[in-house]
Amino acid sequence: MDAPAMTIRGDDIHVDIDDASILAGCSFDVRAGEVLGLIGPNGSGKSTLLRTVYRAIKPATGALWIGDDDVWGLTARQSAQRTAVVTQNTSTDFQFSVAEMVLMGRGPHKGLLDRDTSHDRRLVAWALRAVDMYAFRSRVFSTLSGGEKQRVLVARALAQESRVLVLDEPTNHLDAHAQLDLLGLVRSLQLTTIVALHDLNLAATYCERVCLLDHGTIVGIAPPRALLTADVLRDVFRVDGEWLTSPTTGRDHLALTRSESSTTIETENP
Amino acid sequence: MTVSALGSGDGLDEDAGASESPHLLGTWGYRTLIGVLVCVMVASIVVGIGAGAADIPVSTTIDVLLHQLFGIGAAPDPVAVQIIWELRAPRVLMALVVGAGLSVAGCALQAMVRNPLADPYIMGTAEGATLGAVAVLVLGPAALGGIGVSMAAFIGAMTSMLLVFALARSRSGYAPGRLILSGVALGYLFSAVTGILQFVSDPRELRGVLFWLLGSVAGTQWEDLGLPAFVVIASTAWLVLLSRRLNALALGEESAVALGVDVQRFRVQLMVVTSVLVGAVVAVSGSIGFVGLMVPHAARMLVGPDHRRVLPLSLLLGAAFLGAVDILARVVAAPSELPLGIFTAAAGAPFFIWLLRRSQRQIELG
Repeated sequence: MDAPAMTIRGDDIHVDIDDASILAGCSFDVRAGEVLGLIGPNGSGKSTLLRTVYRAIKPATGALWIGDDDVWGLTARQSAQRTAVVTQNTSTDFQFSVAEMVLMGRGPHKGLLDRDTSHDRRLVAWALRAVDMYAFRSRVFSTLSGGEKQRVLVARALAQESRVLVLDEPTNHLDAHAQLDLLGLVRSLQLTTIVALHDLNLAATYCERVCLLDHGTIVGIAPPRALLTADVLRDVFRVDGEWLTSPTTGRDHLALTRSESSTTIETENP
Repeated sequence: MTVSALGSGDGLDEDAGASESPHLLGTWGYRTLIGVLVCVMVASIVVGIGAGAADIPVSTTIDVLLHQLFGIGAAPDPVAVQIIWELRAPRVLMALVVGAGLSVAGCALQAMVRNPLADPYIMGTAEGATLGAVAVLVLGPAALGGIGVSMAAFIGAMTSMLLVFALARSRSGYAPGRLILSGVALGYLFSAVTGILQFVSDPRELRGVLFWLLGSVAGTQWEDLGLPAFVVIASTAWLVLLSRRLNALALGEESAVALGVDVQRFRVQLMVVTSVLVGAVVAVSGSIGFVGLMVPHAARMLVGPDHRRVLPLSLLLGAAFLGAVDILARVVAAPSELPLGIFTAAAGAPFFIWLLRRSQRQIELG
């Protein structure tokens, strides 16, 4: 983890699923150590783009580079040594303990005959302390709250010793405190991070730059305030928005109202 | 926050004992249990060989076993040798092998479909194997291109598994609930075809087929034992080697990919190994349900879901369980003997219902 952070670069990525074009030529880059926010309406292709980064979907054309490696030139195991993932909702009927969940992060570094070493155990303990979940190490993972689960998955990513971190809407179903807590934690790790977020204000607060996806194409990559102009918000999200600066913190916030011109009703999770 | 800053003494405790682990047994408890189960198994072999129509004292059993295995002691009574060594020893061992095989197959299937309710019978795998085996028994090997019972059982199991996964496939992958339901549906279909085969079979064959269908290891010869024993041991060893991947797969496809598992390839390997395992076991024992459901579950309740422990423990628990059931089957209605499947179903059905009620809220039908 002391090694220099890696960059991520997507090169004209096309993904089709069942003859439908999900990503149509996405090129982007994430700088070393940067937290890039991935935003866009539902169905814009955020999850698909992230899945190409962690080698779960092979693009029809185009390439994805982690540092100097083409992801599809790596094995699944090599890719997992470089990239760790925090998925949306990890639920399981199997009663793994928190420590067992985090220990799984060591899997990509293990051969078939390797046993868990004291180094692995120390890493697990360190990772759990780093996310402030050490006291939960002997709890059953599936009994934790949403925010606690996400912290444990971040700990697993740390134990994985990867230099790239991918998070797919990690703040879904978390309360306000847990949302800020988790993203603050992610930022403090100083890993090259790409995080899909629904909440534009969270993206604006925790990301230097955001990447806006719409209908499988990238509208732009820029600092939030520069990218999310009133026109873009209306065209892509069908909302009216206004940037306000907090008089106490000096931070920029986005005030949103439902756009007058939009008439269709969209529900988030039908 | 760097790794080099890690202290030496601040790791997780080496022995995740009761206070450090949510599971009933920690490392030492697990090791002790394995030792105890090995002893129980040896004892059940001796007791199992002694039990049956002809009453044979334990001392005679031990004399015969020591003489046959190690050449120790005087030559025992040839009738005792015949009964103990030729008739009972192979079947007692076969019961252990079958119990172990079904339990290990259950573990693999449950991780594969991410559902603790899976088992070779519930998933339709064993029904596929049964159909293959019955087809050879009733129609004769010649009608099926000369393949043997074991091969036909393997082909049946593999076909069933491929169909289950094909049916349960959706755009978002394989939902655990759909896999189970597809398995149940296909299981019924295969059972129906097996029923038709019985209906058209020669009445003289039917009794044998029926007895076999209910599950039995009676009439096992030494030469029947080799293949299933090898398959059970080899596939368990393979699964134990890959148990980190099984753990990751139990969390879901997406998590497994994130943890560096080549899910497509691993799933195909698992399908082949599980089909070979179920085919080999069903071909020699017929239908013995619920073992593959109950045993892995009991193992997980004791040591938690880590397959590195669950698999070896299931192997031993399954062997001990079916060994005990085989003794019961011969003792309860002596001198005649009952099919094993009756006992496992009698114990398994209530267990399944209990499990279903307990995990009701967690089962998603996707």
